[in-house]
Amino acid sequence: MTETPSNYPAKLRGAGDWFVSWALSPTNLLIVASLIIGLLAGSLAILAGGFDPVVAFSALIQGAFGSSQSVLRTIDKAVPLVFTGLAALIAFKGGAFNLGVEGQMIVGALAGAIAGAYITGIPGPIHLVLVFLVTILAGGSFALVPAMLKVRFGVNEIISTIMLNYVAVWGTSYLVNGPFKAPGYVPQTLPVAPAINLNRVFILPGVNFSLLVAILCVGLTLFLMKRTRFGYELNAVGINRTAAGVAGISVNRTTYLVFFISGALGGIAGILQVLVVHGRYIQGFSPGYGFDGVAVALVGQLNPVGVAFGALLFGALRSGGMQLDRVTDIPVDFSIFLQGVVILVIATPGIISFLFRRRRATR
Amino acid sequence: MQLDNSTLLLVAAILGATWRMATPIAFAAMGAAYSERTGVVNLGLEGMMLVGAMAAVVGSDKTGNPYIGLAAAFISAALIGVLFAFLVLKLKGDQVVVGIGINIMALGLTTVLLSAWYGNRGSSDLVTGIPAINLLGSTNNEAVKIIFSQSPLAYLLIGVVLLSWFIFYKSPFGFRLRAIGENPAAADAAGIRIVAIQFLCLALAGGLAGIGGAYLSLSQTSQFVRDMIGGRGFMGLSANIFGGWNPLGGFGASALFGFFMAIQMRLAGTRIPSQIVQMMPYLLTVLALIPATRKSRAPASLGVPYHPER
Amino acid sequence: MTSFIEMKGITKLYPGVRANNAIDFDIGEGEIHALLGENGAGKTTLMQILYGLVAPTEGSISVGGKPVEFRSPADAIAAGISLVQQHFSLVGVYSVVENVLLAREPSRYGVLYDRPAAKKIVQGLCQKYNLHLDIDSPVKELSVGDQQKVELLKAFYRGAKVLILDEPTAVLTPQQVDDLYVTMREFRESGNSIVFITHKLKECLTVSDRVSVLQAGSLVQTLRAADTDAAQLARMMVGRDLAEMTPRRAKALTDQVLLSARNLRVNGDNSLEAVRGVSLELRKGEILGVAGVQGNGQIELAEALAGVRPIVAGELLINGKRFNALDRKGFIAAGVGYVPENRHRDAWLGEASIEDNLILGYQDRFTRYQVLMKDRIGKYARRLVEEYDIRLSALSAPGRSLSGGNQQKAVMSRIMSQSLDILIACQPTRGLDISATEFVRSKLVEARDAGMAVLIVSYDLDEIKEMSDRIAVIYEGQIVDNRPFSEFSEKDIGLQMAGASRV
Repeated sequence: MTETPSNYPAKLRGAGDWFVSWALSPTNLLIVASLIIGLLAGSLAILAGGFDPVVAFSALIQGAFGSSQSVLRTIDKAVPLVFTGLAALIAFKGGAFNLGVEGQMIVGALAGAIAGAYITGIPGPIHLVLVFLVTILAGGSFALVPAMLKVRFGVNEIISTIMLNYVAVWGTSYLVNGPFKAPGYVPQTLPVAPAINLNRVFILPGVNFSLLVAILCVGLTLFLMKRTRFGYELNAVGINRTAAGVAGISVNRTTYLVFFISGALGGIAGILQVLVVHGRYIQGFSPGYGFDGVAVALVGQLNPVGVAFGALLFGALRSGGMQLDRVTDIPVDFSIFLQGVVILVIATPGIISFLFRRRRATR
Repeated sequence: MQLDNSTLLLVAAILGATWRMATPIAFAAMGAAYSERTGVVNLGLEGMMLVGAMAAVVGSDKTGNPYIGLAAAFISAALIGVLFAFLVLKLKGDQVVVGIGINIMALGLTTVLLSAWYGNRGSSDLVTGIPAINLLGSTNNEAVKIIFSQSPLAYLLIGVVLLSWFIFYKSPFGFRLRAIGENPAAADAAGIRIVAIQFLCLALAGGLAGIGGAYLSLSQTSQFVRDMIGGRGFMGLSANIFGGWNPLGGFGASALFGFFMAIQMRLAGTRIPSQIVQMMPYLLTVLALIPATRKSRAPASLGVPYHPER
Repeated sequence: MTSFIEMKGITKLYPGVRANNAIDFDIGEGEIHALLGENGAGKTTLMQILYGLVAPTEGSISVGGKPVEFRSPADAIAAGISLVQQHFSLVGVYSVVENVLLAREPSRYGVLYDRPAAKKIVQGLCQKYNLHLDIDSPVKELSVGDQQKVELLKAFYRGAKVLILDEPTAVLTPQQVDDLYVTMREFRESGNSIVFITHKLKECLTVSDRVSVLQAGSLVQTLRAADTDAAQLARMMVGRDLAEMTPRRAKALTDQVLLSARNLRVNGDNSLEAVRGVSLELRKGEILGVAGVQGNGQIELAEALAGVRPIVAGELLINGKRFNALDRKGFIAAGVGYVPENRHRDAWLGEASIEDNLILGYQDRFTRYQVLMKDRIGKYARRLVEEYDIRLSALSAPGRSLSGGNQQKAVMSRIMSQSLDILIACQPTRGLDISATEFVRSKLVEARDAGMAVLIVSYDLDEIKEMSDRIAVIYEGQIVDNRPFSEFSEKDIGLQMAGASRV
């Protein structure tokens, strides 16, 4: 038998060695391992493609953290992932896989954008609140579809949420190419009212409004999960549906709420892109933020604060990938590959002891 | 009642298109059946199809022989299946999340390689494909010709379906295989080598998905296109459920989904907006899950990991 | 007597637990060897090692004098060893025939399952061992007793020379136990051996040739059954003299009915009717024991009475108020506590903290304005841990870190510490060692004496007899008899549990 990673902290008896024991905690080791494995697998892929891994990875890191501009871009890319990560996290904690955050995001964003563009004549702040309400309702309700299928008919939410992403993509595409199409070639809506366009609202130089909302949502989620009865019940349902039911918790009601909140968070991710980045809904605005949510939640170890860091990691991969795309012939999709590897490793904690055993055996 | 000739030809065209549309989904459904009957949820089928589609094109391109491409598709996707099995069965990874990871990795990898080998991020060069043949070539009946003008892979599918059904329900091996999905502890205690059978089935599932992907890239487009599977792997998973985890049922369900898609192609260019038409197969797949889940019975231990103490 | 199998120095370590500690164990040819010990003494682990299901940390096994290493059950089966586990290893949707032959199916050309041959084989086995079964029906539709017969058939079909039976009598009526003894002795007469795992002294003295006693993972001694007696075995098993528990009955039965059910009909998980018109009353300050063989609807009845399973027809009154909906929350508010049979599945959150587990079901009472009152929860949890002597590393540790016995105590503690009128407890001492069993039983008696109405469901007739003020016998979803304890004889109950009408 080999030692399991969980034995590490016990061995570190040194006083004040808190940092070392934290840094070597199994989950952190897992993340580091995932990055190393990603690096190795990525190098192989790059070599297979006939590129130079050193050039590639330095471009990746340059693009993510090389300058203040690239750091800001990393944050920009990370912010939507905070929301989609929280969306996936809430669902996970409630015992459901919501793989439909992408769909809920674009549905919410489109609904909010339409409210932002077509409702006129009310004061900006009220309009803004209204847009958010519409977004939350639309994203949340769209997520209620798989919840209803699950509760009423026992339909597995994994497949239904995946399929509903396609429904959302084509459905929004119809609306933005048809009834709500702005004049011109691009499939997009009219711009939202200038009063609610947050493109120029900065909380710090170069850091826009959406980061504030993201931090707020992390805090709220943390409070919800750890301190409230709903969080307690959601957790119970997620861990053991049967025991939760026996404890008098309405499993169905909790499931509906979980999906609604999850979809609403997805919607918020989308509407912030609309209000802050593009000023309107543009078809295909998301490079897959919703799909990444699951990975972000896992990298964040299903903890709201962890999600923020997970989002930062994936945001860095994205912005680094864009740099990579610009200066080499390697497409931005390379960072998608890395994300896939990271997910595989995070989902398989056994990898660490496997590699550890291997190394010992070869010595 | 006498059908006039043009109606007959229309029906034949729709049936032929149904078969064509159903084939990749059904290959995935067969893969799903082998996975889920041994108790493993395999969301990675979509990614395995994608890898198969790419390998098929590369193999055909390098050798000029599309059947070598087909073999490459089977082998490479089966290897991904083995990787999946290794992570899930040996290293106790989470089945669902590993499946998702496989899909994302496959998408990234195929696109990077596409751009490396073909200098294009959207699609590969055209390669020698596997054209349709007519098994009933001698007939004079136009309608029959239209229906049976199919890729050899579509005929292969029929063989795979029937053979799988025989294996599942008529062979001793199938009894053991299904016992694993029902109660792995009981199968283990009965002396069945469960992990070996699960590895075999997951490799086979990957290989079958790979053939499904190769069908798309060799028989339909003769090139690889980024992210070209478009959810057919997931549809295969649904078809397997809709078909009650039975290969014949899975084939039937795939045919139904294929029929939706064939109808969708007929509706293109009509007054119905194309996006709504595009949406229909996915929506109907979701709706099909409702009666499927109510009626059929999943393997009792589906998705429940079993790791013996040794 | 020559020994057929020898296990030497078997040690099995689990994280934090030494399940087996350097055990030497041997099985002779043509003997019934009882393996006696409390729950958690390591009996099952030892036999799972012999069957290749669990790999030992240390130790060796030899069969017929030759050393062997069993990497999987397939190896053990090939060596002539078969195991009937406490939780049967059956494929529910497969027929009896298919289950018996699984992994050794007759076939034509190696690829075609030979159904007619399969059926003939199993028919032959049934005749030879005088077992009566509907061999074409799916095993999930069989009674537990019949399922055990399927397990025996499996072993016979494989030509087992050594048969390991893990607590085989737990699911049987007294009469069925006698039949099992007959089958066991017949098996021995043809030169085969049996390892008989039990924690019941009487049983092991009745049927076995030798007895090995395990305590806390170690072998105490192996001795001939003829040379020992119950008192000596009990001492070895528990490590102290076993005080004869004197049952404490209620001082007087009251007439104050707290729960009354009339003509209750309830469906089981398979949508078939499991409870078929049950009427019963539960009075303040009494323990009502529901006796019956597992699978006769008693669990479904208990679940309906606790509000976790829907009532199809009939009427349920709690404190005179009608309760018919599937409203567990309402039942909790009405003071109905519920200890489910499968605590691990129905009452425990393995991944939540122990503290969270200790308020499960009563989280409303620790909430103000939707926010949990963490301080109060912490204080409460510490109180329960102390009162019930729950052994844990920290309150924040995950629930799964508690041992089975401590989980059980935790579940009992959180329920019993709330103001309750009625307690429904299924198999309240399942899986507990003797001291924990005594503790739980004394808590139940305390609650009864404090005026609670208690209903206990148990498959263990001894437990029913020890605890109950009244006994209700359930058979195939119906209460076939319901009287004060003093009016029953053991023979009566046994026969009624088996479906015979009153004698």
